[in-house]
Amino acid sequence: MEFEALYRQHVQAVFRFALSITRRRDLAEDLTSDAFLALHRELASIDPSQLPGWLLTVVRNRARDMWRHRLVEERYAERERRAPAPVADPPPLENWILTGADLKPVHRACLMLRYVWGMSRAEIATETGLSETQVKGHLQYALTLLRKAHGVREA
Amino acid sequence: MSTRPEDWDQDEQQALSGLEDQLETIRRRHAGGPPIELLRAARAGALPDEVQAAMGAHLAGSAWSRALVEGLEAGGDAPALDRLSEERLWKRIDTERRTSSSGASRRWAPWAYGGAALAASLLIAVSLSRNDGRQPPTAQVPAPAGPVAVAPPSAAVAPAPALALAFGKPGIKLSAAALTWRGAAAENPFLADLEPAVAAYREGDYARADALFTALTTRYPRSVEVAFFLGATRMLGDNFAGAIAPLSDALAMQDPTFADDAAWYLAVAEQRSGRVTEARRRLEQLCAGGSAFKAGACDAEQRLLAAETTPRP
Repeated sequence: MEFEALYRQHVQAVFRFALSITRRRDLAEDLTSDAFLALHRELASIDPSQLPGWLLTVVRNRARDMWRHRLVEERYAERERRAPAPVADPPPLENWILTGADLKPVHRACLMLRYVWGMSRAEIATETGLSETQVKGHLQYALTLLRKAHGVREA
Repeated sequence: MSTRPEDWDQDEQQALSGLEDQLETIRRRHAGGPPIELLRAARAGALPDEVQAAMGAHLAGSAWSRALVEGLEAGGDAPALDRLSEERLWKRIDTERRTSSSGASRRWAPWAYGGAALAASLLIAVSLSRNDGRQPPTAQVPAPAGPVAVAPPSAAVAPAPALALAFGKPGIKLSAAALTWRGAAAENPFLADLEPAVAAYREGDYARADALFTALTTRYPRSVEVAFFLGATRMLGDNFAGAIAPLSDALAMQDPTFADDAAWYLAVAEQRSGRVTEARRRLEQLCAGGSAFKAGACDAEQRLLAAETTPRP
């Protein structure tokens, strides 16, 4: 199969995977581009049945390369090694976010990002791949549940 | 990004009224946690082994982080590449595969984008140095901070005549030594001093970049960035012979971030300035190694060999 045909066939899967790792379109496009250029170089030795897995592996490895050199990881690793114990026991609200019966994972993430990380709805949308409207809806639902839980606790 | 209740809407303020102290406790408890992009990369298995293992251990022990990652994954699907972007990306790949005959003139460069790579690295340094007590501002994810830079396809500047190795414009990156500056980025004199030279380099003003980088060699004689980008600048200005000394200096510094790049560009500079024997030896070493330049070096070495053995008219 010609290179361009392989690109057309697999570019969406490769791009989605890259975007799921980076959440930045520019970086995802670069990872995708890099993967297809690697494919072009190795085209003669690649069995098309290995695709898109082979391309996804390239993306993963390139992402690994990026992290290998990033200060963030070095500092994080340092911080992990000397990470202090948690400053306090988890308050009831944390336990509710983690275990609240009617909360779904996406509600938990929206609550965390909004009220602990302090993100705007737009930032949460970028992080999660949701629309701002969806984020707003998830937050409203979660807050409704919180009100109920809060009310029960106070009673 | 704000955790101030004043920034919440009325509904939020009402729902969270009386819970501010608990929220603050939660923030403090998780302030030292990993950034979201690291969690996301860990879930995708896209981290170096050591960090992957550390993150695996963190996730195993932190219900909070597990819930966060699970929630992120439960969000919307990653949007597709729209038609225009697909075409644009194809043109970019198609151009690059045609121009990058050596196959090594381009490497992935997470922080060479948007003409703000250095600024982005400064941003990273600032965000890191300022976030000891709170969650990192993840809207920058993943802020370009990797060391390997990519020249966009249009930056493949040197045409490849029959016996001239092609090369791309290396993107800006910094060594770990420069990145591990502990203070605020604005206080890092090296980065501040480097910036004008980098800007000239990025703008393609190689005469000015050459002068600025050359001036920096006196002040920062042990900076691999200065040596390497001075060499690259001279190559881009067709001064291949003049590129050999600074690239040799960069190579001699044995900085892991730049070693392979320095070797590759030095080989090209040597070949382009007629020092074919040295170039071939260097390419042979690169070809035998495991760097991202391996394939290109092997190809270039073979081409040089073929050129040498082909009878000239």
